Formats: sequence, structure tokens, C-alpha cells
Amino acid sequence: MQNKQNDGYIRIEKLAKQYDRVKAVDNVSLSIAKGELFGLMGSSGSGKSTLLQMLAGLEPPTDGRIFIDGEDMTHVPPHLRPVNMMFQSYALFPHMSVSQNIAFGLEQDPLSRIEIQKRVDEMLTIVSMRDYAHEKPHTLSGGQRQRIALARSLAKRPKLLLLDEPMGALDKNLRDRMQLEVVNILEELGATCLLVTHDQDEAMTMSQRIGIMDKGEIIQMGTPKEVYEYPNCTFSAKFLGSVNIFSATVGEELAETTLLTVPEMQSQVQVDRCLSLPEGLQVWVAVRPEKVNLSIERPESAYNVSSGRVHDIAYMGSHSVYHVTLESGKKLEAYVYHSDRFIAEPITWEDKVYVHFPADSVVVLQG
Amino acid sequence: MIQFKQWLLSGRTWVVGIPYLWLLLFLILPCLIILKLSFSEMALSLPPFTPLFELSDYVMTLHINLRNYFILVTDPFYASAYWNSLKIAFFSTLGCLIIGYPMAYCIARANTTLRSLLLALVILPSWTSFLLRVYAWMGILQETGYLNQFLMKLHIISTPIQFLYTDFAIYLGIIYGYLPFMVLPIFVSIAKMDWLLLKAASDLGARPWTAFWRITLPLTLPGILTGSLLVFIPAVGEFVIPDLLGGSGSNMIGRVLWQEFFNNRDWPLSAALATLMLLLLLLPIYIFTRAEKNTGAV
Repeated sequence: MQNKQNDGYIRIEKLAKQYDRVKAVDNVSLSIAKGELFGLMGSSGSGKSTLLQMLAGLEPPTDGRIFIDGEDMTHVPPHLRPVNMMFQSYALFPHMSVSQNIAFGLEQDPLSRIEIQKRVDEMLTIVSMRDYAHEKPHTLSGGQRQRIALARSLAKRPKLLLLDEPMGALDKNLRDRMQLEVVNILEELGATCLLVTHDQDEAMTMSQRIGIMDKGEIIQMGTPKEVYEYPNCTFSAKFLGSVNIFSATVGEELAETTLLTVPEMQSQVQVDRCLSLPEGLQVWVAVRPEKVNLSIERPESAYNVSSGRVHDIAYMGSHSVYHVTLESGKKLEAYVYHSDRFIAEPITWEDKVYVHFPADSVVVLQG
Repeated sequence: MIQFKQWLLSGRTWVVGIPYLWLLLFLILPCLIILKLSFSEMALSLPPFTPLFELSDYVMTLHINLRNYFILVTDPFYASAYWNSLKIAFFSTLGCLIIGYPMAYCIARANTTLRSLLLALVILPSWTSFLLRVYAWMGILQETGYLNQFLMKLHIISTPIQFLYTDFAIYLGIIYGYLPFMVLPIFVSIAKMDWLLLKAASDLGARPWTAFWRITLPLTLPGILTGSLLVFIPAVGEFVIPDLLGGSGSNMIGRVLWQEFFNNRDWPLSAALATLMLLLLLLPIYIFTRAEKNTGAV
């Protein structure tokens, strides 16, 4: 899943949608490369679904433009757009068989019956549902319905495929399997996709790039790793995964490092780079729980250290989540991975512990 | 014996049994009486027909008189009445469908407040007596009625048109009277439909009309079938509307039946008329319910 050269195959320019008084989508610009799978994340009401509807042509935008393969599609009605959508509830036609469902879109184009049959067979093979061609959707399981919905939306070989919460209706196990299966199918066909979801696992597993949307705006875009490791604001840090956030004041700037004063910690926080921020500026310091080390002994480092008490432990199998209450009363999360099956004296409830995190794990945020 | 007593006293038996008993007493038994009556002969006695069974000299004779049916089949008067009834019922049903479907569609797509208001407006007229409403139509349609007055005021016509006592008036009356029975089932099936399916159809390249023909219509077919059945069946036997609004030339089976029963006092013949009508109706009912079963399996 290497990052493809962004050729602006799909280009959204300053798109906006205003409902009565609410701005559902506000000045969104986005470019998707051919064959790329872009994942748009946001909580409900963030405007991600409205954006999807506008791309499909089901909702007219208030402002802005949509270009697909260089053509302006902003005001093209939905049935003339080279865009197909896989709906969250699948929206399969209940009175049609599986193959009739897949053929429906093709029948709207000037294609011969033989050609349609060929394409339907091809799609059924790709989603491995050939044996179910004559079944009605209500006889199928959730995963099978999803594959039919995917086949139906891909049958017309759309220039842009929209996936609306594609795994939303599936249970956890099936979801994990289908995520990779769907990605494989999409890559095999070289489809360009925009995926919309509130589920971060789904977005990160399936997409090459992700965007985080809040209150109608995309606040950060990048590869899953970029967004996770280098969030640009507290919202996006909190949205993707867990994070410990402290309020801090910028302090002394040294040659290669910067010191910050964090009242809730017992030591200053050291960052391994020059921030070029004025001294005394109010900022936030963010540290991911898996980057926090716990120890009974006081670590040697003079920075990024604080003591506290283990307040709670949640055993998750691969790791445990330790909730540590610092001396200041601030609660902090730390992951301890169980790479060994047995530890003689594990850190346990009410233990006095030291938390420490390396200077390169600290993210400084201004908003 | 104890088992039988238990069975008799269990609430389940009663709950299931009472409707069956009701059907037996008030539907099947009357039908059998009519069937029996249709095989007897008219007589100037009380009751005005001959008995089916006769017991004399220890010999029981069973008289099955098929002449009534023979008359119905051979006399073109009755055949034309049957044909006329089916024809009027068919086109009235079609009329109700053509007017009722868009109505039901608009009601189903209206917002919640408007929807309940529109539904109330559909049902409201049936709070008045049906007979009264037919009389109101007579007032509107007669030569000096509101419709003629209105058309003359607008100088569209110079002399009154004969509306009342025509087939047009019968169609108008039946369509007016039975429209709610068409609108309500169709409304239910349209309201039940998932609108997302239309979005999906449009997304897949279907024009609005194609989406209607291939998605909306098939999915609302159960409503259409139920509505058509609810209009067609009573329309075939309709008596009040053709009697009050129709001309003397247009005989419908309900009216003929009335005349045979009350004017000619020929109970056996009218019983045969009714039996034959029932048989004629069984076929469309069978076709409708079968089609409903097929579409209902969605």
C-alpha cells in the first residue's frame, strides 16, 4: 500500500453545504489519486455523509466544485455521474435476485444482454458469490449481502466508488475479515474509493490516506501513520486512538531540544526538537499510552518523569491498560504489552509507580 | 373424555373457535342456503319457492331444478348484466388506481403533519352516510344541478348536458365511493418502502421513471392488488349507485338481483344469480391472491 502520486483524479474544491442555519460541510478541498482508497473519518454529524451524498449527486452543494477525471461534475444529476455508492444498509433491491441486482446498473447503459451477463458473472466471481446468483437478498447472510452490494456498486466500473460505513452492519469477526477482502477486491480492480466511517480500525486498515472531519471541515489529512503519530490538534489526537494530554507552557529552547513546563507532572517535559515557539506560550503536550513506560524504580532521566499510583488495570489480552493517578491527581493511561506470558512480580493495583516517556514520543499541539 | 373436556374449556379453543363459528354461522351457512335456494322452483306460496326434499309414502325425492341456471345462461339479458357489471367494475377499479396511486404517493411522501391531515381528508367523507353522498351527487349531476349551472355560467355549454342516469354517472359514483379503499392500501405499501432504494437506483444510473417502474411499482404491487380487490369485488355487486345514478339501460347484476327478488319475487332465480356472481368473482380473487402471495414473498 504505497502512497501513489496524487494526480488529482478526483478533485473537490471548496465544497460547502448549508442547511437552513447549519453548515454541514464547510469549505472542504480534497484530492484523491487514481486507484487510491481515501478514508474520511468523523463522528456523526461531522458532515462526512453529506459530503458523500454531494459526490454521489444525491444532494446539491451550496458552493464549490467537484471534478472527476478532469470533468466538472458539480451539477450533473446522479444517474449521469460515473460514481457509484455502496450504502451502509446496502439498499439491495428486495424483489430482485442477486444477479438482477448486479445487472440493474448495467441495464441503464447501452450494453448488450450478452455483455451485461458477462459482467455480472465476472462480478459474481470476484466476490465469490456465483452459487447465489438466483437467490433473493433476504435469504443471504450479512457478509454475503455486503459482497453483493459491493459487486453491484462496482459492476459499472465507476470512476469513483463511495463506501458509506461499509462494515457498519457486520459483527466484529466478520468485519475484520471483510475489511481485507474488500480492500483486495478494490485493489484488484484498481478502483478509486472514498470511504466514510466513524470506525478508526476500518479507516486505518482499509485506506492509504485518511482525513479527519469535524464540524464540516477536514482538520487533518495524511497516511494513517502520519495522522496517528503527528496529530496537528488535540481533536485529531483524541479522535484517533487514545492519548494523554497535558496543558503546558513553552520554556527554554536548547540546541536540539525544547523544555516545557507541565504543572501536572513532577518534572519538565523535554521534546527532541526545536519548536520555534515563543517562550511562555500555552500549548498542549500529547503522549500516546503505548509510549509511556511504567517502573517501580525511579528512572534516571531528569525529564518526562512523574510518580503516581496504579488506580486500575484493564486486561486486554495482548496488552493491559494501566490507569495511573499522578501526584497531581491527573489520570494517565499506559499500555503494557504482554510479550512474556509470565512475569514474577507484575505491577499491580495500588502500586507506587514512575511514569516516563521518551523525548521523541512527545507531540506538542497548539489547538 | 377428560381430554375432550380440557380441550373444550381451554381458552385457546375459544379464541380460535369463535371466529370459525362466526364464519360458519354467518358466511358459510347463508351461502349454502342460497345455493340450495338456487336449485328450487319459484312458487306462489310462503316461502315463495318449492322445497328441495319431499317426503311422501316413505319415499324421499330430491328435486334439483336447473332451469334457473339454464335461464341465466341462455337469456342474453342476464349475460349482458353480468358483462356490464364486470366491465364497469373493471374500469372503475382502473380509474380508482389511476387517481388513487398518485394520491397515495403524495400522501406517503408528505411530511408527518400534512400526511395525517391528508389521510384524514381521504377518510372523512366516509363519516357521512354513503347513501347521502350518492344523493349529493344526484344534486350535482342533475340537469339543473351545480355542474350544469357552473358550466353554463362559464359559457362552456349553452344547454344542460345529461350527466345523471348515464354510465358516466355510474363510473363517477363508484370511483368516488371506493377511492379510499384503493388509496389506503397503496399508501401503506408506499410508506413502508425504503426510499433509499430509489437513491440507490438513481445512483446506479436509473432515470426517475425507470426507478419508478422497476423499483417503486413492483414493491408497491401488494398494495395495488389489495386495493384493486377491495374496489373490484364490491363494485361488481354494487346496487345503490347504478340504481340511483345509472340510466335504465345500464343493468348491473346487483340491480337485476334486486328486481328479481323484490319486484318479481323470484327467489330461486335471484339465488342462482348470486351464486353465479360468486363463482365469477372467485376467479379474479384467486388470481389476485396468488399474485399477492408471489409479490408478498419479498
